[in-house]
Amino acid sequence: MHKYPIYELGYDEDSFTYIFDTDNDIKYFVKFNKANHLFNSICSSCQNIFEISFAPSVTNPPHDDKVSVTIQEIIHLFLVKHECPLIYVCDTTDGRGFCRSKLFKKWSFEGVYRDLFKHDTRVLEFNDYSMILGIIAFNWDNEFDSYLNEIDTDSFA
Amino acid sequence: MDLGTMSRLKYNTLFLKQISFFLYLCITFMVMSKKIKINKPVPDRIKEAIKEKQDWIKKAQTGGIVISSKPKRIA
Repeated sequence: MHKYPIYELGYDEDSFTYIFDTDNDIKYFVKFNKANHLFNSICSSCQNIFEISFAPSVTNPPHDDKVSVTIQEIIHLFLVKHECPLIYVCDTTDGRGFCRSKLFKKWSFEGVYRDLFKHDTRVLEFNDYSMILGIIAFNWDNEFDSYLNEIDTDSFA
Repeated sequence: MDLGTMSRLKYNTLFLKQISFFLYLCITFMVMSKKIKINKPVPDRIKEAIKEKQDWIKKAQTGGIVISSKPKRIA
């Protein structure tokens, strides 16, 4: 399926932003920033994990199949370029957290890159809030199993 | 419907119910095993990260993200 042209909007030490325009004149921003706030500071390999976020320029964008294909492409380009694991945090306040989590999983295993990556999830349940964390990493990443165990639950105070 | 058909239907329904229950148990177990229960309120740094993300989404939707005149095409 066709995708939209992807542009690099900017980057600094801890974040990278990409942008694309849809046929409906909607802009999509895709940002990757360091996810250090979730992990033990002593886990050196965790310091290289990025968190993905994306946002359209309007509140209720119409469904567009090319958007998911383009976001998948950005994810793959980013992972291949930086050779790092990627984490996504799904908000659960509207009860659709698991849907978002499933969507990300689907995105990471579709297309020509589907054999490159592995995926796992955890649900962090606080007293007043729960969040779903998903992680995507290369198949060859030997530390994959340790990443989600390095979530810094001890220092959550 | 004869007695044999009814009995077969009853058996099939029971079988389906058992399979569904088994699948339900498997899924529940899978979800539970992935849960990390933290008996504390959401820590400040997670709250900050969530707020930062929400602010960024709002900024994207209100035209607050500055786009340079010539962003570099990568794909």
